[in-house]
This record gives sequence, structure tokens and C-alpha cells, in this order.
Amino acid sequence: MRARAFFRIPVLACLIIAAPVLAQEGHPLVGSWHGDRGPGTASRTSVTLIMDWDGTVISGLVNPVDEHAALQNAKLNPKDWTVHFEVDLKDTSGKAVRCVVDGKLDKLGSDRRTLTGTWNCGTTKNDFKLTRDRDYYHTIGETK
Amino acid sequence: MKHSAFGFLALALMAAAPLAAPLWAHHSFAAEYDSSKPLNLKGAVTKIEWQNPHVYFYIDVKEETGKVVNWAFEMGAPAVIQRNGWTRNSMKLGDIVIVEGSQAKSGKPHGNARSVTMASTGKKLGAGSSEEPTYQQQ
Repeated sequence: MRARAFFRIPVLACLIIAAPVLAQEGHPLVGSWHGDRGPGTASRTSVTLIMDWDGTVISGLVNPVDEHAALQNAKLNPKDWTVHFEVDLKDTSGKAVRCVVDGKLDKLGSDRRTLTGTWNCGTTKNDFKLTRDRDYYHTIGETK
Repeated sequence: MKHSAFGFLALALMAAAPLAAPLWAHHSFAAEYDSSKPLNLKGAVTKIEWQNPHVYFYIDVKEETGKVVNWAFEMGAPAVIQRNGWTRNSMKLGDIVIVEGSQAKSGKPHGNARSVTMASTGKKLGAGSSEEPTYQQQ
């Protein structure tokens, strides 16, 4: 009887401690993402992407610090983990341009999963790579 | 039997230790931050972690060179900042905020927030910093 209790207490302790940690994973797109886009390795533009999911719709923002552009028509295909969204940004002349973004999620089991693909704004074709930000206790103050 | 029970206990503790790490993330201000490195940064909120022992939020700050740096800021515990007037809706993703505080000793883009001002409304909230005992809502 005492031996049983001896086994149960540590198991219960493990479950209680682990529960809040294991409960943090949700929709694979939710979170903040940092990376860059550009036509090649020489010319890159920083990108911040924040995504959320309310159970039905994927919403989000691109570059909140200066562009603050909302995602439109955001979709995730869970069969092949491809992602599509559109966003209205400004080109180098300041003119509004619709950007069509198509990417693929990789490293799904990691909190540092990646999203890579094409980021085409009007006739300008870019590639992009974004990495999801980790939770604070892993990488306090990490430069993205 | 005695050996297997101790082995099981040791395994359980080893499994629990990494999962429990966040619970021990509490620390004093002086251990991690430098009050002689004051910060006053304006940026857009990219992430908020409303959890014990400290609420964390992250802002994108655009430097003069055009480079965007993501800063991490520590506030007090949820219960402490709620007493300073915070709710979970006080700060939303994408909001532009002005943060006053102190930088981490590591020199990384990481700080302890003393106050947060919402740029759109001018509302200033104390961040429950462990640098000072209290910081009242203004």
C-alpha cells in the first residue's frame, strides 16, 4: 500500500508541473514570426508577421512597427501545411501594392518552426523565410 | 522493490525538472538588470506572455539604420500589474507603446519595464517592476 503511494505521488507531481507547459501549443501559425524577404541574398527586407486564429479565421499583421498591414484571405492547408495570405503594402515609391504570399510550414514539431515561400508584390517577385519566436524562458532577449 | 522505487522516483524528478524550469524563472532585479542603463523605446507589440512569475511582452523597435530589433520586456507578476490597472486587454498585438525601464546586464535587447505608455491614448501604466516597490497608474 505504501509502495503504491510512493509511485503515485511523483507521477501526480510530474503531471501537475507538466500540464501548463504542455498546454501551450495550439494552432501552428499562432505567434509572432520574424525573418526577411527579397529578390535574392543581397537585398533583404525585414519582416515581422503576427498571426492569430479564433477557431475559424486566421488573422494577423505584417510589420506592425511601420506598415501595420492586416492579412487578408489567410488560409492553411493542413494536408501539406501550405499557407496563403494576401496583404496590401507600399512599394518603394509609396504606392499601394497587393502582395500575394504562398509558403510552407516546416519543423512543425518545433516552437521555432519556419515558414518559407514566395512573396510577390505586383510584378516584383521575392522569396521569404520566417521563423516563429520562442517563448521567453528559452531565449530572453534574442535578436531576431 | 526498494531499488526500483528509488529508481522510479529519480526518473520522475529528472523528467519533471526541465518542464518545471519556468517556475523557477523568478529572480531579483539586480541579478539581471542594470539601473544605470535606462531605456526609453517606442515600438509595436509583437507578443504578450501573460504568465507567472513575470508577464513578458515583446516590441519591434526600428533603429535609425532601419533595422528592426525585437526587444523583450519583463513586467511584474500578473496579480501585481493588475493592481496597477492592467487587464489582459490593456495592450494588444500591434499596439504602439513607449516603454521606460532598464536594460539587462547582458546587453541583449532585453529589459525590465518600469512603465508602458499607449501611444494612441497617452495612457501610462506602471509595469510592476521589481526595481521599485510600487508604481501607481497615472
